[in-house]
Amino acid sequence: MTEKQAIYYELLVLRCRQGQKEAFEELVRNWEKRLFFYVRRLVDDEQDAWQILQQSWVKVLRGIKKLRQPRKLPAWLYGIAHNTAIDHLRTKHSQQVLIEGNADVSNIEDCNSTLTFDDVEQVYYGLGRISLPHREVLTLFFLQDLSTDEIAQVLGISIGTVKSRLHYAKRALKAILEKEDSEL
Amino acid sequence: MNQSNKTFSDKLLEMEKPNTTYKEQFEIQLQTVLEKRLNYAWRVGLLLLGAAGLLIAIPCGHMAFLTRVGGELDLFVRIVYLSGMVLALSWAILMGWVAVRGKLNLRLHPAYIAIIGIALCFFFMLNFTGRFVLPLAREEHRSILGTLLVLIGFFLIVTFVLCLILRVLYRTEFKTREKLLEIEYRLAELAEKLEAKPDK
Repeated sequence: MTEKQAIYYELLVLRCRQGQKEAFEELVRNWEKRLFFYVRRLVDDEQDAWQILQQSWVKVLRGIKKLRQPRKLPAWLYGIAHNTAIDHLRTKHSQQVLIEGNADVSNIEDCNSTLTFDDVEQVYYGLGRISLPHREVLTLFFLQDLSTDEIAQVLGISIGTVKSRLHYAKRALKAILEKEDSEL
Repeated sequence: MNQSNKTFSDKLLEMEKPNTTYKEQFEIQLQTVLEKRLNYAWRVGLLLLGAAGLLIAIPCGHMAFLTRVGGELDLFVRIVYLSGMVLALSWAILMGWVAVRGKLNLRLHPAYIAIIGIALCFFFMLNFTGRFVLPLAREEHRSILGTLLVLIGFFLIVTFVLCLILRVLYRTEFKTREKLLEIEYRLAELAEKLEAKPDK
């Protein structure tokens, strides 16, 4: 995050705290697309995704006064969207999926994978075919709004787990894309 | 975060094609969280409430500036009525403004309405006690009731003035912080532009 961005977030949060409707609309305008993309990767139904997003914004509106570090706005927003989506999945009895997905994650030191992804269309397609925890961490990684620390904070896991999960997620994605390529 | 990565993330976002109907529904729902659009009945009701505020402000202003109460309590009574006039005028302005705009900002207006409303109720209680309860009381109890009334009035004024001062201080602090951040933002913008310029 650049210094300019950090100041901008601080200014926006300050104005939102004052109850300025325009500031909140600006916040929604700036983040709606990214948060929707993220939430959409977590739930299958688009209508549910919009509902989660709306609930998330209501929580943001209520909680923005309590945000102690405005410069951490992106992590805070993704955190709220994550928690709201998890609550939604829980009510739909899909928590099992999340737990099962966590099972393949083991701690490894540093997994700065050399795997690269250049084709946006392929990545978008592949994201829909990997397990939910992998999809979630890779989505946050590809959106490029958060550091590894912040991703760990959003997901409520350790940095090591984020790194290992990212490593396995990239491998899973690569495997799916290669399989698709070989089938064509 | 380099430019090519950013472009990748933006391209990825562009791949998502949301259903426009759902998106419109979401936007409408979000607007209802932020503000309530008032129908004519609401607007007329608020205008009437605003007019009531004006009707209260006029006699309060008369009592505060024109009527001579006399005695030791002259200044105290004037201050109380002046507070009543300010509150009633604030009420009238707020109601009138919301009614004319036809939108209720759900983040700000309910809080303002509650604060002014409670202060006005407090003022009415004081006025009612002073005008009707005190004259009915027995001669020997009047001084105690009067003292109580003065204390309540004093509490009203002090609370009102304190709230006003705190609000002004908070607003000033916010404005100062906002201006500072705006300057910082412009400086950061300038620094970015300078960095982006190739060395001559």
